[in-house]
Amino acid sequence: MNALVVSPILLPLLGAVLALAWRNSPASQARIALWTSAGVIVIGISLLAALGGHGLAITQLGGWPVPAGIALVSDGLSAALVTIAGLMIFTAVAYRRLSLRESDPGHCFHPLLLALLGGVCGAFLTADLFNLFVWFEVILISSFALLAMEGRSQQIRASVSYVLLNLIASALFLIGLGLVYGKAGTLAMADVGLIYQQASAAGNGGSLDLAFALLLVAFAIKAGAFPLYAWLPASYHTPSHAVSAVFAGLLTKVGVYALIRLTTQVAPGADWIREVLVVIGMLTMLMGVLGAACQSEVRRILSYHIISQIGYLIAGIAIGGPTAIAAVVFYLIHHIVVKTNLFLVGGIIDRHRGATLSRAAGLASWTLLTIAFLVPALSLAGIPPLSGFAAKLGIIHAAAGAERYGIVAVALITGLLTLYSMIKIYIAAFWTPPERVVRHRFGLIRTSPMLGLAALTVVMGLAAGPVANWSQSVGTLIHNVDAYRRLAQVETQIAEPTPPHDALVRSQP
Amino acid sequence: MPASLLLAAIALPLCVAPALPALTRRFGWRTSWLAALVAGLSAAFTMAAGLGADWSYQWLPSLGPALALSLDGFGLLMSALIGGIGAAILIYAGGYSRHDPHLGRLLAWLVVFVAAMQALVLADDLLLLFAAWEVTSFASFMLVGHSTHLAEARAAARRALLVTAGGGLCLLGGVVLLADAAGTWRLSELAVMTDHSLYPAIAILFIVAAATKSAQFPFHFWLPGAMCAPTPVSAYLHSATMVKAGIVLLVRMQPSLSGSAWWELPLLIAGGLTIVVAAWRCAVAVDLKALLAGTTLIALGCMTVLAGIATPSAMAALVVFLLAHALYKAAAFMLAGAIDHGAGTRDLRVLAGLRRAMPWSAGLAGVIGLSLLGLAPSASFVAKELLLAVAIESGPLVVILFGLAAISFAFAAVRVCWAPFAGRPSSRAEHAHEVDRASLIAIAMVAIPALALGPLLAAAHAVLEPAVAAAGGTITAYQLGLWHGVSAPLVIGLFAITSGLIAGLLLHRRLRAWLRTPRWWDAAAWHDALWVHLVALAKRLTETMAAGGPRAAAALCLAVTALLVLGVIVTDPERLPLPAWNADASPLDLAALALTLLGAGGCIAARSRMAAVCALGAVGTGVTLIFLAHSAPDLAVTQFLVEVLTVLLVMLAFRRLSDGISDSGSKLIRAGVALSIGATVFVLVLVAQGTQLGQPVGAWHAAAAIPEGHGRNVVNVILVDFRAFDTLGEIAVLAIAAIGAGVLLARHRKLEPAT
Repeated sequence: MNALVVSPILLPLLGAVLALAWRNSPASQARIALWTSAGVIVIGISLLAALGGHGLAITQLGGWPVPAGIALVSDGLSAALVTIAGLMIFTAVAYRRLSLRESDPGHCFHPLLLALLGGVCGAFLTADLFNLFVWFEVILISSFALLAMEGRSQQIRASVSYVLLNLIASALFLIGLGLVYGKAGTLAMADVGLIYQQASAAGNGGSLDLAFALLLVAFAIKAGAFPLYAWLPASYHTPSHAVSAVFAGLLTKVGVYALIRLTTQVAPGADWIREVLVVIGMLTMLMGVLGAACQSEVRRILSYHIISQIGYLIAGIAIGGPTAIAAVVFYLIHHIVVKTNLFLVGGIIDRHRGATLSRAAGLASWTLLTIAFLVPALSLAGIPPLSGFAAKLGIIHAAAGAERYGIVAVALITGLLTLYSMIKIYIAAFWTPPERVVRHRFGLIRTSPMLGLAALTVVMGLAAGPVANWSQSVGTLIHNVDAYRRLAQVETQIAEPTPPHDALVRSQP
Repeated sequence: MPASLLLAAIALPLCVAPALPALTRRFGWRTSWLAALVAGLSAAFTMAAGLGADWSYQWLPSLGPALALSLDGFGLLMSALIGGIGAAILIYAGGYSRHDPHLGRLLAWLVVFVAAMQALVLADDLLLLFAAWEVTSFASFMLVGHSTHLAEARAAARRALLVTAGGGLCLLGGVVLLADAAGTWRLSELAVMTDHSLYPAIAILFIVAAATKSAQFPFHFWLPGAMCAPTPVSAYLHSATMVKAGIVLLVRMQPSLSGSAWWELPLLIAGGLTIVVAAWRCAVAVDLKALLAGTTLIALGCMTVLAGIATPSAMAALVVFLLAHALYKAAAFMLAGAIDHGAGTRDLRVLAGLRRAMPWSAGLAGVIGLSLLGLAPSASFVAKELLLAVAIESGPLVVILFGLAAISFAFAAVRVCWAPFAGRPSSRAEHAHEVDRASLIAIAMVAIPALALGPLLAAAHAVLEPAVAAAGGTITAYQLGLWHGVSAPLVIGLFAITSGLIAGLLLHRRLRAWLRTPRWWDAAAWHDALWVHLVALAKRLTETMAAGGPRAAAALCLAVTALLVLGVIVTDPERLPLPAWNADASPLDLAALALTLLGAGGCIAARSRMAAVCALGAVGTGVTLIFLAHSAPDLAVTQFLVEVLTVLLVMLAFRRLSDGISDSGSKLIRAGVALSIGATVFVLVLVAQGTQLGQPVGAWHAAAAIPEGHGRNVVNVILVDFRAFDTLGEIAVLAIAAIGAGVLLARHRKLEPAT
């Protein structure tokens, strides 16, 4: 079990090195990427199967006890996200080969993609704040390289915005970490949470609140929340299609994941964070979807939709409590799958018809592609019985239960505007008759990466009951900070009245 | 067994639908008979299931909603209508759209629609009701936009979807609030909600939802637009069934939501205004289908008013009227399609004298005309009597509204069922031809029951009574009879029919001239304009957010940080333990301070990039001095090296760029952001000096380095042992950065010769 927890990080990094070694054979590189990401999927699924909704697995790296060393902890959420991350990379690689049929993407494409996967998995698994920072940097630098890789001036411009704002986030994160360590003397998430609770009870947790404010801004920038999302629409439409699909699925979600851990484990009981997030969440939903409504390029529309969906997630985090977090967990998984899928189809539209909607037309003759677009598009708009419906219902229901009617209203309006822009793409790209009729076909094999994800959306919608049950217990577990601590072996400190780390210091001669 | 029959009524059409396009490619238009069989079977299944059958499946047990079906009288009546009329329409579609290359798609979506509609009327769960509602909206979108090559059809489809889906979201809001307030998702378990604090919001949300679906004012505009769909679609969705979904919702909600002004007034106003506006539309219509769409709006308006009145007699009248209207209106639309096919136009101004060319159609038109007029012995006569009786109970305003409705129906009957066939044959009529047999059979399948049902209604009281009762009404066999003596409803009805006949036969041209619609009076244009303005607003907002590029965005991030930190301090200053002010400073400290300030000042004053970078280097050197002063030589060395290297690298990188610093944007704002973030970091550093809340793990690291880590340099042991995983990540960062830089440089070298 312990090796399982660390392997989703090490395997992709090893794969990246291996792929670099085969730099002269793009086909072997693609095979390595496929096998590595498939491996991550298998590991993720076995973790998921072993943990279910209630289980936790922990690895204390190097055998050093927490909080002196670094621990990786996997609960159901981490395991599920690792699985999905592996699946997205797998799909993106397959998509590039099968659907786009692009030639050599450059010998660094696959290594960078795998490094990104390693970073994402690291962020999903670590239980240490500084370690989280490190994985954020891995993600940032590899995504920057993927973004700028083709070297077109538009991409370089986009990557400047992207890197500048994300580096500000990193700097804020780091300053915040300095303050956290200075005050709490530890960087393990569970430990910080414990000390914060004790300090809050004693009435002097304010200094940690300041540190959390910095972390909050840093994570909000990473997540693409209002008003800090400028880097996202500036960059997501520029890289190659497979890359932007991966970005769309994974990058912002790391920020959202960090926000979940921040509100539940690092800063339990910090209600002011949730009050701030309520406002941010509602504004993010609205501004994102309004941005989408006025765009005329497929990938730009989809980019703004990411922002608005992040708004739903943040609103769910803001509501707080096991039910709302369960809804967020469901939504998160649904969103990654659906969003990546839409970007993949968007890439096809872009490739065959050009980026702007006024030029796109007549794709309805490709029936399979139409299905591959309609399923995730309607899922995104929350049409039953697809996964987006249960996901949105969960958030709205949680909001109504917590009497946050503002969130309910904004979520509904956002839903209508989401449908508006999905229909805009659909009518323009699929219904409008083309100027010249396309003869060649877009067959099953070429569409299969997208159809696979679409099938996942359908299954997740139909099997919403079991998935929701699972996410409910995950949501409960995330809130059960003590369980997390007990596993991280911090409970000795809670039990003993002696200064926290004496127990560890005593073990030396 | 009954339970699985209920499920089969929905599942069968849903399973057959995806196969229909392929079957149509193979068997052509004959596939429509199979589709019709499926629709008919789905109705047969519910009938076989029998009243009281129920089925449920826990779909989302953690939240509470289930897929629950149950069959009451009203559901059975609706289900029979959906399946029966659906079968006729599907047969008709096979004839009408025989040459449509996408007939398979049309049939498939129609059959999906049958399934969704069955689910909607059989649902015993709020959420399933909503889900079915959304599917009908989407199926309607696909069907209205069936002729994708027509820009008009695409626009109408979008309009129809946005309005009905907007209503759908109101329904979702209402459903969630209601479930939360009532503590159950089951329709059958809902209590009377009028006393709940959320009641007004819930009632309004449900009413808006119903109004959008049933095309009630101010959402009435999408229905006439949807007439650009193929006629089978208009006949089924937009007259007989889908638009009734709103009414079904009102009927289902009436037990728990009616009984207050919040329910009654909006429904009366919406329904009343719809009747008036639609009567106007009817008077000026020149298109056969537009005229029929107008009468559909009127009928829905009447039902909405009845649902608002919500007395037992009103609910009874609603159910009977719904039954009669569904039958004859579907027939009337199919007839309109037949005329369109036979004569090649739907323009009422040129249609005349078709009786010779289309004798069978003419005969059916007579049958339909009697129903549309509301003359005995049709079912609609009975319905009209009931309607007017309710109106007389409810006051003069309702009498006027329902009277206007009856006049409009009579007017439409003359224009649709008489005028195209009567008179001298026009040039059009000479080339006209009778339509195919399948279409005629389909029309007869609903037109004849609509007429023949009238005398049977009283006998069928036992069948109808459960439906009326389930809708919250009461009815006697006597009320369902054709003859009640000379009563007020009869007189008013006869008066209305006479007026309608006069208007339709003699005054129609003048009416069209008198009632010319003002240009601004076009709700569809208003709807479109609303979206245009909304999108324009969105564009302005989005552009404002993106204005200023990365620099403004970076400033925004910093400003938000400062604001948030300041907010935390201001809201709860008591919780913030600040350290005692320590004024002792060594000369080295002061020197460091001076150097840092000098560097910062130089950075502000600098007019060139190079100068600014150098000044920034001075700031870093100042920090180095502080490290030196506080006995951290290793840190000082590292810091100094990093500073020097950074300055050199940045200078190298900027070598090619112009050296001036662009001075765009407000200096005041930039100064404000810089000062506030500076102040923020200052406060943070100050706070960091205060009392510790927990023991630092550093102490453990220091103590454990030799015995546990076997190394004398604690920093090294931390880096490569205690926290080696961090180091792994950092090495990965370096390696990736090197790869990335290599790729970019290689590209650059490749591109260089070209530029």
